[in-house]
Formats: sequence, structure tokens, C-alpha cells
Amino acid sequence: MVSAESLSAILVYGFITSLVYALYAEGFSLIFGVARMIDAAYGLWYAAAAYMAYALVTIYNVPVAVTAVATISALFAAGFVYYWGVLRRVKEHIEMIMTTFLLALVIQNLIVLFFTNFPWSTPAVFPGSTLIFGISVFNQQLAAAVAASILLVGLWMLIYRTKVGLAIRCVAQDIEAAVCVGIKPQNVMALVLGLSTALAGLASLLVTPQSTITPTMGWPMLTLAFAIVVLGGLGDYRGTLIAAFVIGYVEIAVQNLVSPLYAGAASLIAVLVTLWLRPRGIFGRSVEH
Amino acid sequence: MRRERLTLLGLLAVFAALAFVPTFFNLRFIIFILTLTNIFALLAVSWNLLSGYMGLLSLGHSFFFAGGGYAAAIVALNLGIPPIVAIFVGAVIITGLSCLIGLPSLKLRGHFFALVTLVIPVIAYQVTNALPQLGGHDGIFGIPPISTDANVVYLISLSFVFLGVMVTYVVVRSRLGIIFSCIKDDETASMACGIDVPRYKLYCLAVSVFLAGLAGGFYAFLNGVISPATYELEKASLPLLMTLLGGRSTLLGPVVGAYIIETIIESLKVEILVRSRLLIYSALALMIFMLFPSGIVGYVRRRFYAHTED
Repeated sequence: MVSAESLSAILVYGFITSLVYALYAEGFSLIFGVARMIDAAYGLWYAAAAYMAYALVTIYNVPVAVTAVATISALFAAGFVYYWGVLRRVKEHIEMIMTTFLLALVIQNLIVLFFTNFPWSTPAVFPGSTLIFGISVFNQQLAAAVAASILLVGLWMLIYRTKVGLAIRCVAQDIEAAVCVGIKPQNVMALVLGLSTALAGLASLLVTPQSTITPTMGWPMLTLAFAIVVLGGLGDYRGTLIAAFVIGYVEIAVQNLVSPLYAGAASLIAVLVTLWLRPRGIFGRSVEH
Repeated sequence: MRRERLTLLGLLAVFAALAFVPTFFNLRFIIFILTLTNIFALLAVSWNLLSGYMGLLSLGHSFFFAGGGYAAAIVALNLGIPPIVAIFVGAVIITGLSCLIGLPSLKLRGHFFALVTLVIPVIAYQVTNALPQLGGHDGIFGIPPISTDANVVYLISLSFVFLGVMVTYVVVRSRLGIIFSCIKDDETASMACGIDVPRYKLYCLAVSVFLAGLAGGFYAFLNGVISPATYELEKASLPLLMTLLGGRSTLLGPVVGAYIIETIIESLKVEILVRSRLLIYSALALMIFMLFPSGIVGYVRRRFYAHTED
């Protein structure tokens, strides 16, 4: 039988994890939904942000707030360059996955070159812990949850309540029609790529303090983003949010009740089964023929 | 017809040279490196069949590779059958398993197949890590060597590569190969012609996984140990990088790429370069992929047969 303590642990930790996953996966979902692109380097933006923040804070002693702003703007700019330099030329999906996969390898090995394969442990930004429902939670994680919820609401406002968001949704629906009403789809796509890399960086900044970072940390995150986005129906804000909660709770529940060793495998298997039985995800469009 | 005979003769000459020259010099270190190179060449040949000729991008060839190694090691240690037989049995086991997993994924559009293959080694890694029956984190030890003579092992590995290249040659030249290239060029049109697309994709997957399983089994016997680290991304990206370098959809491309990349790795054993070796060849492959999509063998072939093509 599940004890009350482990139940509340699952509830609290699951909620925090899911919020961060949601923030992270929304970026992947945006690229897929709007630009119709699959970015196999998405996990590497996450790793790159973690390493950049780590280097700025621990090696160059830059204040945390400045580091956050610098990292996010750098990633936003990287997304722009990424679109104009690489993705714009690639049209076919297979070629796109191959190109972005190779690019991801290049980024990963650049990180290895500068920081070696050795895992570094990162300092906490908000030290200490608080009791919630009888569970001791690191302040770091609480801050991550609060920031992630604010950012998720902000992203929703941006997409559904502003003119820029209108243009983004317009391009997602019909590129030719968007051109007819005076939207430049390439600018919108570049913006979306920038937004998505910035979101990956934000998620990374929220999670990586007070943990360890390795150059290969991006790959599990890529499969995670893929898992959430497939489960939620590709490119759907609401679906991605719900799917992030499903995956987050499945992971935390398996971790607490079965074994931490199976946590990642369980959620990925859940996604494979979804992909096979109902390829269009919980909501959203089909990925079959 | 003449061209075909020329290709076959060239193939035989290359393999004969590879068989005689290193054994003649009899340098143990170089022989070991070349054996390793042959294993990765076979893996690249297998990747080339699935992703080059068939157009099904696989980013998870490490699963077939490590799976074949695990299956062969377990079979050899528990049943006590000779290593070569165990390698083949292991390859058959991993082929069956991968076809079971692959069957539902092959119905998905090409790029989702690619993402599924990226996910599967991650799952396999975690499951193997967690199961003590599979050796857990430490892997399986004490796998007996194929032969105590390094030259014999080298020649067997070379014959495996030859087998892989010949299988590719036979498959690509047969009716099956024509169907594969039809599916690669246009899936919808091939379905309209009455080709059962998922079935042929499954055939191609099975042959490719079998070759990768052979390579994995050989790797396990060569090292005497197989651990979950074999599932790592480097093993999945190596065949891709080698094949892109050598030339996609060419018979010898993967082998040429494997030899070039292994030579680069082994000759650049300087501290900083060891750390950045993957950087060097992933950047190389990215450049080649974007500027030179047909690779080295493709380029040579175009120069050589320029008058017959246009």
C-alpha cells in the first residue's frame, strides 16, 4: 500500500517536475507546430545554456541575474542564427533531422572540448529548503516551479493575446494565407526558433542549479521533449501542457514506487505505446500517412 | 554488364589487399585496430543499407549493435556454443526483437521512425542498467575470445565486412533493391504501384539489424566484455558519420569512411585531440553533408563514370 508520505511526495515533486517539463516541451512544440521542423539539437540548447550559466557564475563570478539575462539572450540570438544559417535551407524532414543531429553532435563535442566529459556540480541559487505537505522541498525547486508557472502563463499570453502571437498562429495554420495578409513567414519562423531555444535555456536555468551537468545531458532531454510533444499531439499548447503533467507524474510515481532506475524508461515506453496505438496523441494532428 | 564486372573485380581486389597486407606485416597493435575498424565498417554497412538505400533514417543503431553483443554473449556463456555460432545466433535474436519493436514504428512517417530509433537505445540503456540478469551497470564479463591468434580474428572480421558488402550488393541488385529505391524516392507512388511498403521496410530493417547484430556480437567477443555503455550515442553516431563521409547509397562508402575515421582517431592520439575527436569528425560530417552530399565514394564514382551518367 502507498503510504501518505510517499503519496504527498509524488504529488509535490510531480507538480514541480511537470511544470518545468511543460515549459521545456512548449519550445519543441512551437518549432514543430509553427515552423514544421524537428530540431534534433533541441536537447543541446538545454545543455549549452547550463554550461554557459555555469561558466559565467563559477568561473567569471558574474552575478546570477546578469548571467540569466545574458544566457537567455545568447540562446535567443543563437536560435535566430540557427534558423537563418542552417534550418532555412533544409526542406526535407529526414535531411533536417540528419543536419540538426550532426549539429547537436558538434555542439556537444564543443562542450566536451571546453569543459571535458567530467560532470560538474552546480551551486544553488536559492539555498535551503521548505516544508510543503510534510515534504521537505529545496527552495531551488520551489523557485523553479514558481518561475515556470509565471513563464508558462506569459508564453500563453504571448501566443494567444498579442499580435505577434496571432502571426505565429497564422503561420502555423497556413503559410500562404499568412503571406497574403502581410506576414513574413521567415521572420516569424526565426522568431519561433529564437523563442524555442530561449525556452530550452530557461528550463535549463531553472533545473540545473544544485545538480550536476554533463555534456550528454541534452539527449535524454531531447527524447523527453519528443515524448511529451508526441503524447500531447504535435504542436498544440494545451496538449503539450497536459502531456507534460502526465509524463512528469508517471516519472515521479515510478521513481518513488518502483525504482529510480526505471523512471525514464517508463515514460518513454508509455510514449512508444501511444505512438503505436494512437499516433495523433491525446489531441492534435496525425503523424501517420 | 562490363561495369558490373568491374565493380566486382574492384571489390575483390580491395578485400584481397586488406587480407594480405596487414597479416604480412604482422603488427599486433595495428591488427587489433584494423579488426575494430572492420567491426565499425560492418556497422556502417548495415546503417547504409537501412538509411542510405532505403531512406529510413536510424539514429539508434547502437541498440542493434549492443543488443547483438548482449545476445551473443549470453548465448555463448549459457549454452557454451562456439563463438562464431553464438554471434550468428545473437544476431538472429536481436533481429527478431527489433522487428517486433520496429513493426509498429514502420507505419509512422519517416521522420518519426528516426525519432523512435533515437528513443529506443535510451530505454534499452536504462533497462539493461537496472536488470542484474543482464549484468547491470557493470555488464557481462569473461566472454571467451574467438581465437587466440590475432590474425585469424582479423581475417574473420574482414570476411564479415565482405559478407556485409556482398549482402548489400546482392540485395541492391535484386528486385528487392529496386523496390527499396522506389520506396525511398516516393512512398505514395510505390503504394500506388501495389508495393506493400511496411512489409518491404520490415525486410530492409531485418537485414540491416542482422548485420549490425553480427558487428555487435563480434565486438563483444573481441573485447571480452559488454556493458550498457555500448548503447551510448557515440556508437549510434559513428556509422552515420562514417557513411556520410564515405558516401551514402554506395557499396564501399561505409567501409572507406570507417577506415578514414578510425585512422584519424588512432593517428591523432594527442591529449587535446582525443577529447575533440568526435568534434572533428562530427564537424567534418556536417560539412560534407551540407556541401558534398554524395560523400567520397560518390564523388569518385561521379568523376569516374561521368560520361555514363548525364
